[in-house]
Amino acid sequence: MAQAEMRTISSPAVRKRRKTLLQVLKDNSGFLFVLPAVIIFLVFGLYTVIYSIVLSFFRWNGFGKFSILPFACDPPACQFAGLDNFAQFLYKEPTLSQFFWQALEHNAIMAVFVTLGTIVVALPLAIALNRAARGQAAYRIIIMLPMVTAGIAIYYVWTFIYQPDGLLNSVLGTLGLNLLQAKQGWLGQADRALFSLIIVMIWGAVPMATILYLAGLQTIDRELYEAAKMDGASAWRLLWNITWPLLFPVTVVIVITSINSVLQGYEMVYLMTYGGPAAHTEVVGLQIFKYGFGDQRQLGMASAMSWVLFALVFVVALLNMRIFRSQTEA
Amino acid sequence: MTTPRRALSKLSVCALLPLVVAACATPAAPAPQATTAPQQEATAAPAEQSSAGVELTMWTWKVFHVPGLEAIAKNFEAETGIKVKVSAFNPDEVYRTKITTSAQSGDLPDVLSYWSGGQWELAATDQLLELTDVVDPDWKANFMAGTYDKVSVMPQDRYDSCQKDPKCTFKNINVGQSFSVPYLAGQAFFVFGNKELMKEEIGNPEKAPATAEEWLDMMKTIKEKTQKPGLVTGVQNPDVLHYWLFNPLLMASCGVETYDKIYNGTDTFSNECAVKVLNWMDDIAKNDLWTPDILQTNIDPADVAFSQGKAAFDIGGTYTLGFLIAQGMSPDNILSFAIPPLEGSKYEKLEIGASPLIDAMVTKNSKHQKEALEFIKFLTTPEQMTVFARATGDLPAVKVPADPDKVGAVMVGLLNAFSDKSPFNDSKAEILDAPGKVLKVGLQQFITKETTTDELVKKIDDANKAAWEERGGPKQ
Repeated sequence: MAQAEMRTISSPAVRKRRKTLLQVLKDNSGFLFVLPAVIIFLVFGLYTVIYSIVLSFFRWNGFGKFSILPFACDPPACQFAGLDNFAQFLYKEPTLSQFFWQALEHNAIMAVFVTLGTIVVALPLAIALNRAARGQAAYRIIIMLPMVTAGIAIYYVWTFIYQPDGLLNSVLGTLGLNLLQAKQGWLGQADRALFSLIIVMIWGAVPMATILYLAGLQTIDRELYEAAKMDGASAWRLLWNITWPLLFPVTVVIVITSINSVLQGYEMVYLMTYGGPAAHTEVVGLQIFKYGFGDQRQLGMASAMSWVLFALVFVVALLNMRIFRSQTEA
Repeated sequence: MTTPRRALSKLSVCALLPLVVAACATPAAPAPQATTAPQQEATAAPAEQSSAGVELTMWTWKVFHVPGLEAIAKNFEAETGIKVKVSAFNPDEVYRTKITTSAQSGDLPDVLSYWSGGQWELAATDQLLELTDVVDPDWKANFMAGTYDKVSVMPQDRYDSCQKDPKCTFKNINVGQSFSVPYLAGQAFFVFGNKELMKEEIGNPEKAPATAEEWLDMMKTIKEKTQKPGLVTGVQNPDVLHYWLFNPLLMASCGVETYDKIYNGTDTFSNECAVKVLNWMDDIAKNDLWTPDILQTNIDPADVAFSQGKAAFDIGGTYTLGFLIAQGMSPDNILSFAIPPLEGSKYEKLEIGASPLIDAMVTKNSKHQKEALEFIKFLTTPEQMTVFARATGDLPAVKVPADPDKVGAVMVGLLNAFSDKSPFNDSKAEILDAPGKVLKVGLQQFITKETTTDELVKKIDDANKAAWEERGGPKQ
């Protein structure tokens, strides 16, 4: 009976119905096209993410053996720490947790002000550009300059601007606004350093936001404005009732990307203040960098901090999307 | 029949395969290790092969050390036929990352330069050749006091402290074990004065202040008369105020015993000798004696500012004088002296000793351990370190002749400033991360005028107490 069945299965008629490997590959050629990207993602994306999650539960100085598959963690250079890495900087170790929460507070202040500042500057710029009858391309190039200039050069230029005898203090002095001058430099005074960095961040974020708003503006039907004008709407009403609502999806993108980049970024702080003066510009990203690559060599702690930051960014992004979606639907 | 779903499953398996392969590609195991005595290990392994045609690799993160190390490598090749290729990777973070990844893949060089005192973590993971019995009395005699014996050999107190610390990652290193030898030393307790400013405003430019109070008065006078700030140094780097100014003043003020007790948690920063130091540092800020952008000034820019006459005094180290001269400042215009102690200090004058900064070590993955060991021995001879000192202007950890013809006049001045009797050589203080961070930020907060001595004392003592409690109690 079994033999008969086998004969049936392997009979030429059935074999004909069977697809050759080449045929299968042809039928699924789409998967082959995405395969390289999937491989790259799995090896350099997913594996490193899993590695980082696992590492956050260990104390490891980077020199000894630590791997996931096969699992290896040779003490004393590598020790299982459970949730201790998280507990240390969240609440357990008073000094570490104080610096962590302070850094997070700086991140939050930056996220709010950079996002608001970017929108407040970029939207009018985009509207002005949209109305420019001539030279729009030239204006666009000028506005895009901060985006295409190397970050390190920008940060050094801004550092010079912020010095006690720098451009900003000189301009204020010339205008007779000596009271506003920062005698110890804008990045050297505890009460101004963070906001000085925020200005540089806004300056760097405005070009992309302007381009996004400009693209959004060019999709708005001109007839809407003309109809509103015929009804006697003022410029403010046009902005508030037509432009702003129709640009809402663009604003959502700008808000989410801005918050994400501010919460995760640290390069500018590293180059301009290194967290100073007296830790007034310390951000979580910089702390992660110092734990991971500084002389402390606590890679587990750096991973744990990264995951807390990721969770925070994720929750903020979800909240943003939820809030904006409900407003769009309304 | 093969359905598209099955085909998809197969493709998924293909896609997951690299992930598994990547995951399984665990760090390459280090070269097989002999478990014999270190000396035998060092000599036995390469005995089968000839040294002819061998090329060693050496890494450092100090780019400006490369010419000095290459000059020594050339001498080594002339003597032994063994080539040494020196490579530099900087900045510090890049070098650390390079070593971490190379340690994982078994690609460390034959000879590695590393921060003195940081070698234990590498040694604990079996990356370094043990030198405990290899460094014989003749070789040890080459090193300056307070270098090899203090930092390259595991001391009892460091061992005890590590055993108590749950986070310590080198618990398997025993007292007396050694894995490296120092080749660069330095010390940062020097003050450099601008003689021109001192001459015009306080008369005698050759007279160094005897006390910290006298020094503060000098700064005030210069500031009043010239509007030039009294002091500059790389305050943006949080370590600078702590290690370059606070620690020497604290050591002089309290003496080594109390200094150790304060840091080790059996005494407190509210001790009068420590409070005096904090008050004095606060006074500099209260009198606006720092350069205006001091919190944004790092070490090199601070030296540049001083060389341009923007401040009367600069705090630096053995490496500063050469830099100032390179900036175009005339040596005749510079007065150098050790940080002067406060009045009523335990020590009337702070003896300054050399502190090891960079160690050389042979890695276990080296295929030429014997030759590499031969090279670090050659590197740390007085003759070769003289070559290094001459080429780099940096201070070797090896005793070199104080001969201006051989090492240059600047180096002779530095060598003569050192003493074998520095209290730091006897100190067993351990500065823990958390209180260290509170202190560093607090000292900067004097400048931002956000804290007072009393507030800072309370914060550091709380942090120090908590940190030592986490380790099972203060270090006795």
